[in-house]
Amino acid sequence: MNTTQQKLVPKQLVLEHAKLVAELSSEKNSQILLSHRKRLSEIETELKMSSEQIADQALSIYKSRY
Amino acid sequence: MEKFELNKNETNTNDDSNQELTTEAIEHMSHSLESIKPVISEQELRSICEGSDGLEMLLESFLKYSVRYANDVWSMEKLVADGGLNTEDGIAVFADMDEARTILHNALVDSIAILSRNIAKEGKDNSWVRELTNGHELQRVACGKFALLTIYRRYIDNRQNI
Repeated sequence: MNTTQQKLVPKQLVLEHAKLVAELSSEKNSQILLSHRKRLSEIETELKMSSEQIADQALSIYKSRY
Repeated sequence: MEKFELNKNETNTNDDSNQELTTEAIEHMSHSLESIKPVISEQELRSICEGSDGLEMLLESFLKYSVRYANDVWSMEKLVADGGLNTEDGIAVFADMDEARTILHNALVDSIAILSRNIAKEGKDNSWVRELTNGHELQRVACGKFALLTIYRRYIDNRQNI
């Protein structure tokens, strides 16, 4: 296994991102929307990954369980 | 922080003790953009349903179930990742959540079937639904993934306006 080509991804952050995206989809409260968007941005920065890449990770979790 | 290892050849995370997934380097993940693509986009569905009160109502029903399903799935997975199955209470909570999620999953699949059938009845293109079937009937996992992709795509497409 070539560790230089791999990246450890914190599962909690991937799932927190996924959950925030889902909540954001139906949220109407502007304060909560702002807070969610800020946290999503923080997670993307922390993981150094785009939303698409994080979504890909979350979907891998889904496909492996269901 | 708990981490997990994603291995392209070994993706079974049913074993929750496996908290490490390895993924290939970020620079090798250019496939991600393409992978976050539902079989049909929300915008395309809106275009198909536009002008028909019945179809618009059925589309909203599918979208409503998609949001709820995404919330349920990620809440459950987060519970597991946070060690929620380490206690009897946690296991009971998970079981309740999973039962509710299964019922919601059924409703989601039904909402896709009804939407697709009524689109066809109105003489419009419902060929996209074939990708969610095994050739005969809708597949539960494919429908679930379709819902999750739709919600992710909504976020990704709208973030420029955020």
